[in-house]
Amino acid sequence: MIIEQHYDDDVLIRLLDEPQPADPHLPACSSCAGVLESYRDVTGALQDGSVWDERELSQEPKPQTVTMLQGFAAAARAEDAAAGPAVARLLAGAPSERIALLEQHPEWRTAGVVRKLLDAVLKSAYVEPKVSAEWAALAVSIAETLSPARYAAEQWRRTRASAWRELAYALYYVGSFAESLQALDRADAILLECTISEYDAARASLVRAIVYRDLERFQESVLLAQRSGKTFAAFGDHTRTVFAEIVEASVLVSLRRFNEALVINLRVADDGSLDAEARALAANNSALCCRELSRFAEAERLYGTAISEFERLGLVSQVAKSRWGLARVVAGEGRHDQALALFQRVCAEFEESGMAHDRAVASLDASESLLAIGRAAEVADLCRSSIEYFRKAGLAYGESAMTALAYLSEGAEQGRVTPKAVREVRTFVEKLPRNPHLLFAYPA
Amino acid sequence: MLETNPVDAAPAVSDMIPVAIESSAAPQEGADIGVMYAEYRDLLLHVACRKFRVPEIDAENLIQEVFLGYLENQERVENARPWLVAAVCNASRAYWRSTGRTDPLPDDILEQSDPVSHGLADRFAVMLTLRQALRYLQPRCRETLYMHYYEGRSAVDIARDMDTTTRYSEKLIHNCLKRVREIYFSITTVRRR
Repeated sequence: MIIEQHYDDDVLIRLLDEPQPADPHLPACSSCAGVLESYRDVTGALQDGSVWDERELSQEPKPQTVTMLQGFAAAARAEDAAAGPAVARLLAGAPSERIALLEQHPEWRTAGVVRKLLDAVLKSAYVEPKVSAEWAALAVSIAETLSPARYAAEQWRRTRASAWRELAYALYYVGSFAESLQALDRADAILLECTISEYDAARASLVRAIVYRDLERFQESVLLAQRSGKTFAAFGDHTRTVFAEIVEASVLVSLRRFNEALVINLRVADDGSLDAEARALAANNSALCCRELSRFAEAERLYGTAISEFERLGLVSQVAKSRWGLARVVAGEGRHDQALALFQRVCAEFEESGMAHDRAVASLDASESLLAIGRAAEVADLCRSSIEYFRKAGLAYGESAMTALAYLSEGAEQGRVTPKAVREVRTFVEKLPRNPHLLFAYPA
Repeated sequence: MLETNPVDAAPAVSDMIPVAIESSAAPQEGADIGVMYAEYRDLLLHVACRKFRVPEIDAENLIQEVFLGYLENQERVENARPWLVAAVCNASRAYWRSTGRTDPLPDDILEQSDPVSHGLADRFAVMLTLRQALRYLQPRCRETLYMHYYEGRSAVDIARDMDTTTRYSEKLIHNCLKRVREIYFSITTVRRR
């Protein structure tokens, strides 16, 4: 029987037995669909044994538990307050002074100091990566000397595991991948001894996923990112779930699975619950996928969105990265005059930001545009300026990069440089940060 | 052996911007832990004792561990309830792993609560409330719902057991289901219609 154009409950209960009711009314009626859904919730729960468990459990919260938890929270607050000035003094000093300070102040060896140091590590990771790694190492050294008698066993273990995880992340950021993996192994080993470890283990796994990605262990990286994402979702941590998805998408890009990566990046770019930087980043990476899929108009639009957002946020190096992507779109469309102007601007921006490697690779993109418009002679100048810049930057792999650039420069001077040679050198230079011991072999 | 120029073309992704997987946003102000304990204790106890069959005396200790873990992460936890529920599932599984050598495990311990299921906290909250609702039902109604939904018996089978007609047993199942849903909503005071 139908009442006021809605199904009555008996009709809806009968629909429960149909896995996917092919009823035309339900999709159009949110009221009936809602009631049906609530019956599904109830009948689903009725199939669970815990609903029928006859045991009565104590209803009253335990006052001693409340007292213990409040005491713990108060102690942690007091420890954090005391840690603030201690950490400020530690970070203000040179590395050698820090050791002396800790010897003078053994009372600074607290979980609060470790927490405050890790906060500082996080804030400096993208600004001063080397300094961040030093601070993370200091946090580990303090965490490993915390007195187990002073802390609950779980807290003692998790504090140490957190310090090792953040050290791993900082080491990853400065390109010390092997050391980063060793730090992650240590964090994982400590977490194995914890009762509640899944959330922290997922955080460590996500760091491992990005290290594996950069070491080109792509399949392992994707699995770790997916597994971490599922754990974050179970713990209701939406932001980290999205971070895991972004890592997964970045691995898919490395695997040239641009369609799959684009789906994830576009979803993230539209996620209003995230901050503007994360969305702009996803817009940039969506644009990259579109470019690689030769969807140039979409790529241009998305790069435009990313650039204006990064400019609004004052993120100079990200603006340069997005503009670089845009320049490659324009070059891909064959508009090499415009592309060249953009590449030159990008090179100047990278130089201002001290990004030697990106500047070198972007200058090779500019070289390709120069060749396309018949200005091959200028390639030599561009290569020489990159060589000079590498020399000043003092990067570990600088010699190899300079050898490759010199080969190109000589070719340009002799009028025999080709787009193929530029691309070979570009591929080589692009791989150097991950493989700093790679040697340049002169193409036959 | 020394490596030289890569043979394969490297992915053209230099301009991909890497994600920062740790947020440096300012931590949130934490809620009063005593209030949170009072609010979520029943739910966490239900999960530990009834879903994972952890003895009540040990479950209280696990809940303490869960709240201590929460306090360590509190400033960056986005949503307390799912975090606490996922943590108590984690703690309960660890409990059975650590005591497994001496105590018999429940037969279906491996089937208990997929740790990666979405909406786990919501489902457990529904179960806890529904358990309360069932206590207000007539015994005959409870028994009918138990046989049909938990034991999976058909209306025909139930009719045979009750010595009545299939049509009547179907009616009984429907009425009891409607009634328990009504009580459930009167407890939660959230109605969909």
